Amino acid sequence: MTQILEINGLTKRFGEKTALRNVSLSLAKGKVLGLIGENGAGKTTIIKHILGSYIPQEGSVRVFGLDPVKDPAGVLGNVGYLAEEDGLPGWMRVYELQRYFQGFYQNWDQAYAEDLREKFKIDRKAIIKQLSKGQRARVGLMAALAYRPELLLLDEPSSGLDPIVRREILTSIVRAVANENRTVLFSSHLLSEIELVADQVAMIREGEILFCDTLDNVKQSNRRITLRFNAVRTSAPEIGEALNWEGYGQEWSCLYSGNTATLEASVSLLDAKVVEESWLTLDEIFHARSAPKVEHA
Amino acid sequence: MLGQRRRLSMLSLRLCYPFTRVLFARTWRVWLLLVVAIAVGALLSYHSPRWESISGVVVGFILICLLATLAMVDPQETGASGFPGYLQMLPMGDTELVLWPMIISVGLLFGLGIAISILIFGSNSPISETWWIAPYLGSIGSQFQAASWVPMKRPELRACLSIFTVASIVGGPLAFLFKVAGPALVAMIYLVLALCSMWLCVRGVSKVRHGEAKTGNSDKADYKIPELSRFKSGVSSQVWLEYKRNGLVSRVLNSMFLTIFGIIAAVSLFTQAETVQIRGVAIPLVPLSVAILALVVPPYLGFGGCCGSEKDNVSKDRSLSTFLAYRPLTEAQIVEAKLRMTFLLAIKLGLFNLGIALLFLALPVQLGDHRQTTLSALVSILSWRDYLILLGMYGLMLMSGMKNGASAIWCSLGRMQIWQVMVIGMLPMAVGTGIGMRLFLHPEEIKTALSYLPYAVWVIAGVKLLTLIPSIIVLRRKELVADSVIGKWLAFWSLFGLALFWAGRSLIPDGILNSWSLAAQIFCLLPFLRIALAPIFVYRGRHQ
Repeated sequence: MTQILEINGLTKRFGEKTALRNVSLSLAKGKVLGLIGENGAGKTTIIKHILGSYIPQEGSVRVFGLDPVKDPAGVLGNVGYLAEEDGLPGWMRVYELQRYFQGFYQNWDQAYAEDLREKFKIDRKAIIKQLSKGQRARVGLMAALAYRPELLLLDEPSSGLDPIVRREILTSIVRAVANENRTVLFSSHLLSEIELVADQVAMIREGEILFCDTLDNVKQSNRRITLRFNAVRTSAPEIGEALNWEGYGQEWSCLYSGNTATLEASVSLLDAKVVEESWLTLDEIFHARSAPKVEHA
Repeated sequence: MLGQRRRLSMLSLRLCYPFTRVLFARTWRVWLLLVVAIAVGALLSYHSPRWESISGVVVGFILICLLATLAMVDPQETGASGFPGYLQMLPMGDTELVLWPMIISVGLLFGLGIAISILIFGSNSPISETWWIAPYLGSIGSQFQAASWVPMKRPELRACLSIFTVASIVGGPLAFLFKVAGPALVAMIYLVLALCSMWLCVRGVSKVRHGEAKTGNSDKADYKIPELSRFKSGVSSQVWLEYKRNGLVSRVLNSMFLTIFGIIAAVSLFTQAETVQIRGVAIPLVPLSVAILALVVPPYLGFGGCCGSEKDNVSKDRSLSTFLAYRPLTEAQIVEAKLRMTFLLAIKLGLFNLGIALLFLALPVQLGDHRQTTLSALVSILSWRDYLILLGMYGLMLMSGMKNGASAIWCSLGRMQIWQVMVIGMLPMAVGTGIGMRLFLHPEEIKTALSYLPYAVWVIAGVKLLTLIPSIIVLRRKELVADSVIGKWLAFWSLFGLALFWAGRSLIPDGILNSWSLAAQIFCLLPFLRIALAPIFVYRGRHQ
């Protein structure tokens, strides 16, 4: 399968702070990757590396097999990008923006651009800075989509869009793009959206990728288990692949991401039994993985 | 009741503190520079009156920077007004919110004016003749603030207000110098203008604060979308953007200069014309100078299009707009777009100003007991060879403007310091203007000044050559420009340099300038180095 994006061992430091630590990611053609993480986790830093804004200090980034720093025109000509904060020139009118973009992208499809504009209910004559934040985000989305880029990068697009656009338009567009065998990288904290559209999910925390797998695998490998111990415990037990312990006395629960055989072995050693086991939503996995490790006495 | 009101106004003064902090943070470097310049100027003026004009020009230049910085508090904040949106939320009335910072600014500028009138001009003139500088400066400050803070439906209206401010900057001193008005009248006019500006600002900010300012959206129904063709390439798209956005500043500045020149030309109509003898014919000096200045300005204004300085919402710490950085253009194409824009703007403004210059030259002025146009006098003395030389000189000015454009691209590095370096880097231009004025007034010193010129030229040529070689190495190593392009570029400028050398050799006698000095001067003139550095700076601004 053709790899559109390959990031290997990427590390970036800003002064004392390490923003990305040995990040490796790959994305195949036609897939939708959801990048999740808290604010400041490093999602935008990864996207900026893909766009060539940052030079990797260690590791490498390849987009369509090209280095985005050495060949910005080759990479950016096939990348559609919607930024978290709108960076569109506010003084332009919408039709001027369309004309400006046409010069850059041979694939610009004016009919498609107009379809999107009408769908988003944006006036062609409107001056961009006089539009609301949500409307500007829609203009940005239209500009990022209308040349049918091979790779669509959406950096927290939901922060500017209202719930209706988020739910009905954005998700349908992302799916439509993927159905045309084009690729999408979508960063968000709104995990319900990622759950709706993503084929693959990568979670980043403090600059490190915690996991990157298909949505089904992520869900199946992360479950909440509740253990009942024969004796009262004053601290959380130690089981490999288990985290985010909660509980007191004889009942303790945790997020477990290992296999069943290892779990059964560990449980019998601790003189306990599994009394409840449930699959988690992506949101619950995210919260459990993001939360600092707290031990309850 | 009175005590309560007094407490309230003290509170509003304290609440105004954030605003004065913003003003101070933005302007303290210029204030510092100004204090140093005034101190040096004062020392030099007292030492020898010949420095008065140079000090005056330098201090004037820094003052303009200060006034501009003082007014542009945050033009992007609200769109319609430069008055920062977050300050509009302070719990105080509109009048107090706007008037306090204006009064503080005017007061500071008033004090500055007194310092300048005593320390720089006071050494040679009685204070009774120069005290008007204080109200003049205070008023100009408030006019700049009005031009920035009053909400305008269309940018053209703001440009008109800015042009009026510039007319006001030159009008007073000219009226005083040409003895149209005395210091008391000049001061009175500026005080009235200051009060008008304050009233405008209070009303304008109040409208913005309460959402009553009209915006450009209201005319959307009447707006007709013009039929426009598709751009042929990304570079063409970018040239259009640069022309429309960054070129606007140059167009406004050009209008400001033309306003100044127009005022000077108009004043000259009412006075007996001074003349300069060229080939035995008396040519009126003021219309000729004004026409030359109008033609000289465009090549140097074109560089305004090169700034990659649009404020960027994505990464506020650098000024190569990410909107531009994310376009599929190579670094060399970004530089090409900006330089093409520089050239286009210079040509368009040049043609417009040529029409205006001809108008100035066609104005009949009083020469002795008859009236005559400068144009008819010029036509009688210029041969076709002179026209060719003038055209060649204009070409050189265009090239020089392109050099400025290439160095404006250095701002793509974007840190605020680079801007400051640009502002401070323009100081030599101000010093040069001062020296030029000095030499114009004292032509007997030209020979001494020229004797230093070859040394300066050789030093500059050496530095350029030493910087050019590593620049080309970096361009090749980072593959920013193809080897074939570098080869063509070196060949083009070398041939151009040779052509200039040939033209120079045939026009300038060997006794005035020997061949080595001429070659070094041409090397300094060519935009080899700045254009070579531009893609490197864009690269550094784009990839961090």
